Amino acid sequence: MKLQSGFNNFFAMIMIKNPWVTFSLFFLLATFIPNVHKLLNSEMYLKMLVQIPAYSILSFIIGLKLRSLNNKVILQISKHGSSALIFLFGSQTFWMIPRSLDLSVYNEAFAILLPLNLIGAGFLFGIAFKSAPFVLKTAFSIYGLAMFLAMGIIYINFNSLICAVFSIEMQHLAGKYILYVFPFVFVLFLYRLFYNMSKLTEEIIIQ
Amino acid sequence: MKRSILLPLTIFFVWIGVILWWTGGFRHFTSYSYAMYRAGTPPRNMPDLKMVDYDQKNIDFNRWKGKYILVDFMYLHCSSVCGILRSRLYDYQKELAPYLKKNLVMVSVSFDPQRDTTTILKETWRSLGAEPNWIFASLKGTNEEIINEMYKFGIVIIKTPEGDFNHTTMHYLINPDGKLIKVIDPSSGKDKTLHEITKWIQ
Repeated sequence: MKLQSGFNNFFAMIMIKNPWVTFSLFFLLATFIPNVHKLLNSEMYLKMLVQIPAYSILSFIIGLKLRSLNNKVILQISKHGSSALIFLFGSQTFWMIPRSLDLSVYNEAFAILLPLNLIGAGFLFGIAFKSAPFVLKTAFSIYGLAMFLAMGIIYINFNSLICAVFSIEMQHLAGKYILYVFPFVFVLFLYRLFYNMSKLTEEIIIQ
Repeated sequence: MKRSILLPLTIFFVWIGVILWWTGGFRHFTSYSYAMYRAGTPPRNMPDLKMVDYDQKNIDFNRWKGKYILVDFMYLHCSSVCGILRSRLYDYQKELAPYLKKNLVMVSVSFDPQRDTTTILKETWRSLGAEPNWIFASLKGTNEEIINEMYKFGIVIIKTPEGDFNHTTMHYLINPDGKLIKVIDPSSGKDKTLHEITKWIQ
């Protein structure tokens, strides 16, 4: 009965109340279609700039929207913003290690573990997002941006193969595309940072 | 609201521990480096590799016990780095000629026996000067067996969707007792590589 009511809530949210959840779920499931999955694993830039971010970001959006469900488990999770953020960050760091990336392409167990881990981490962080401290979110964002930029510079400049499953040309191409994408991500980060800072300032003034 | 820091700190340190273990102490981030770390630092025993040479004879490294063996692993259909390394080895064989007459053997081993047949190995050997102490051979077994065996040796071989292999590109120096004593990175340059080889075999 409880499971039925929870499923009905979720279904109503998807189909009626929130197109973001529909959109995110659709694209998340699309990454698992065999041909799409094969394509995303075949090019380094697709893996790094589409597949891995898609798992985290789309599941984050679903988690963010599902916060409003009246559910005990979700309410409990939503209190642990810092833990969820650190778990997500640790997961992303793990999968950025070249050896982990290699295994996620040619090893079946790791090919399953990657989406499970990142989707789980993104989803939990989406639920607990609002309770994560602003300072912690900002600090991890800055660190994440720096790592992203460093990755692009290393991939484009290194003439030795870092990931064994891709070629040196793919590595350089991935570096180039990371450097193309970086400014947009940076501007988005700055926008969110100033927006959140202005909100914080307003709250302080009101208090 | 009083925030508990115990759970986030625990998760943080768990992740640090996982990554520390996964990378062998934050030192081995790539598959190549980790495979060499797992195989162990030299000197170490050689795995028992079964090969067939360009004369279709079954061989293994024990055949050259009493001599130094300079081994490289490659495949002849490589469209990238193997050709460059082979031409470097061709240059080395001239510099190492006095040692090749005395106490050194060079062995180039293909891990793609399906395509690198003994005929092709022999043709390649002839095109590179037919030095009698530079042997071309290929490993025996299926691709999967060879890849697993090579990993134990510290060599990563990954087949790409295009049918090529991405693989470790190192030279391995085995001493007259049959122990692997040095792994040499050829990307350090011709002079440095030659120096690394000759300082052991003199």
